[in-house]
This record gives sequence, C-alpha cells and structure tokens, in this order.
Amino acid sequence: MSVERSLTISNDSSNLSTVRQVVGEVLAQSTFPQDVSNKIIVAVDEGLANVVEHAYQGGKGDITIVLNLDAVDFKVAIRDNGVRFEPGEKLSDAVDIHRHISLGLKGGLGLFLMRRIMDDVYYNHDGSDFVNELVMVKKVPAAE
Amino acid sequence: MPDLKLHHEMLPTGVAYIEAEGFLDAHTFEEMENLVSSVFRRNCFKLIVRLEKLDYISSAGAGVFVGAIGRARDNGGDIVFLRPSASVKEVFDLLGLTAIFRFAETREDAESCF
Repeated sequence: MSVERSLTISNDSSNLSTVRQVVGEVLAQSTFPQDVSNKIIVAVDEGLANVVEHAYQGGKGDITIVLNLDAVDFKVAIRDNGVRFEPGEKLSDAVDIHRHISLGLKGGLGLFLMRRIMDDVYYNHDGSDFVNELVMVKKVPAAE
Repeated sequence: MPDLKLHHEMLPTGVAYIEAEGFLDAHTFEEMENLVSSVFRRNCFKLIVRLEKLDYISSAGAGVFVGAIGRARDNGGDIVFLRPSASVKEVFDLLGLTAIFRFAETREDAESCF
C-alpha cells in the first residue's frame, strides 16, 4: 500500500485548514490510531504555519506539500522558495513552558510540538524546485 | 472554511466567560487574542474559557493563553478551562499545559476556582 498526495497553496493562513483536511484523508488510509493521526495533523499544521508566516517575509509565494504514506512510514515534505531557513537550536526538543509564561511569550511552541509528535524532523535546502524543505516522518505501527 | 466562533459575557461574579467553537489555529488565534486583550483592558483578569466545542487548537491558539496567564495571575486572576475536547486536551498535554492551567467540569466549579 502506498499513497502519495501533493498540493500547492499560497502562503495564506486561510489555507491551513485545507491542508489539515487533506492530511486527515491520507491518514485515514493508514493504521495509525485516531489519536495519533490527530497529533500528526497538528505537527503538519505547525510546520506549515511556520512556513506560511516566515518563508516569504511578508511577500507572496507558493508552498508545496507532499504527503507519502506506505507500510513503513508517513512522510511529509513542505517546500518553499522563500528565504533560506536554518533552524539551528530552534529544533531543540525542549521548551521551558514556565519561562514562556513568566515572560509572556506565546511563540516558539510549534517546533517543540513537531519534535514531540514526529519521529524525525529535518530540513533540506536548495533542491531543484525548492529553497527550503521541511521533512517530518512518523513510523507506521507494525501490523499485529 | 472552518473558522472560530467566540461568545463572551461577564458573569455577575465579575468573571469573563468565553465560549470558543471551531478551530483556533494560526489563522484565527488573533480573534481570541483580541478578545482576551479587551477583557484585560476592562481590568478583568478572571477568565473561564469553555473549550467543549473547540474542535482544534494549534500552538498559536494555545500560545494566546500561555502569553496571557502570567498577566492574569499577576493581577489576582487566572484562566480556567472548561471541558476541553479530547483533541484540544491532547495538545495541552503535549505542551505541558495541563500541569499549569486549571480545568473544570462545570461553570460553577470553574467560578469556584477564583
């Protein structure tokens, strides 16, 4: 079994719900329990929201989302042609929520959620059709 | 397009009661942020936020409350969540917010938190 879906959207946050719906449709064909599928949808939404907000720095641009589901894993690639993004320490899997609260911070939680939910999160750069590619992978549970 | 519906009222006890329905994500969080800010501007720092009909929350949505609870508590108030849906609760759990925010099953229980 293998499913591939791809879609290209403009960098408008109103498109987030459309992508969540498509991700849900693909995951409905998987063996992930519903609660895990819900979390994966959150992770994809977080990654995409970051790209929508930051990749084109206020300008317009397209974002391509490629979803691949097979017997081994579910893989998401979010590609843009915006400003090169180097996550650096932002990909840390730790967040001090008490510090966020004491300082009144409200951002920076998205990458944390992505790392908590997915098995692998990494970036590629300078592909043939993208500047940044955010890749997230979740292993499919073994069949019983 | 899925969106966010907000209803709010001031309870006789001086608590702001907010009901959220739909989707609280990076597209809609500013509506919630503006509402919380308007409540704070009226010097009300006691909030009950009913999340039973909220189908989805992202970090941008949760971030509204993370960014606000410190100010609420500094001013003698708090933010109490009423009956979050299962999917919303999962995101709170992942962010570690269930250990920080207070939750209630009924409006009366929520009011008694203040």
